[in-house]
Amino acid sequence: MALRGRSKPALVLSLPSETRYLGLVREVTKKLAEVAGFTEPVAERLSLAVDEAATNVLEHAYKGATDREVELRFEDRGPDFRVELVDTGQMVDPRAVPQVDLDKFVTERRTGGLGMHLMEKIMDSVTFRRSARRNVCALVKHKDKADEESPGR
Amino acid sequence: MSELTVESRDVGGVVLLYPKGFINAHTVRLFEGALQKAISLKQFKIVVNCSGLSYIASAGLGAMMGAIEEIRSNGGDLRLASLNETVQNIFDILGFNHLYRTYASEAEAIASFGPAQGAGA
Repeated sequence: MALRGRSKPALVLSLPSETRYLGLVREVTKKLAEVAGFTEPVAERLSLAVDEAATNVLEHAYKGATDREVELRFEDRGPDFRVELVDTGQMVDPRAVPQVDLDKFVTERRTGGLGMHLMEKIMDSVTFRRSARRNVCALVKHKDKADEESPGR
Repeated sequence: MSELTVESRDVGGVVLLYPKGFINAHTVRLFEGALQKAISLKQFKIVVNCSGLSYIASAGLGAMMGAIEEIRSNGGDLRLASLNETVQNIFDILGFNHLYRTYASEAEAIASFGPAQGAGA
């Protein structure tokens, strides 16, 4: 019975590594963010960040393989809303993606890196770690400041 | 119900695209195909009417970025009309409003290309 006074139990969702489930990821995230107390516009943005994180897993860690699994863990930690994405794919260092320069996107026809850019703009914290041959991407949003923000934070 | 459909029509030399639904990594090929079809037909004045677009992820924005240089180097442009609040917010977050002209209505976006050329104006 040792709940340690911490957050509610996590809600865990396991999905096949197929892009057809990204719509579901977005809808579940939005709903859970609203349940955690975020307004609808903020919940929309959080769902975009999680969609982008899941897309990164499918495209980069699993390289399009559709027979793998992605685990999403949603936690309402009181002051924070936390989402972890866990995969067993190739280790990817998203930080290796160059910083987004919109002018270069036009002149160099680059289309990568936008998802990472969006995640960092929307969330308060985006971290990656490798643990027991798993990649864990953790996205955190603080509740206290969420409603004071402009759309671009 | 389909997650995304993209209809198109031509108004006085301006191609109008109507994405209906959402654009993410799953549905983006359809949107990309519509852009590429316009380019292959040498129709470089493009308006994306976003009134039916509920959501766009980076995949969709990437599709536009991937096409924009060819469109502009051929004297055209890709302009957007009737963005809902969600899509407008995503544009704001990325600073895309500095890269793409957006208009409140389809008519304004079409008019921004100047007088229509040829029949059907």
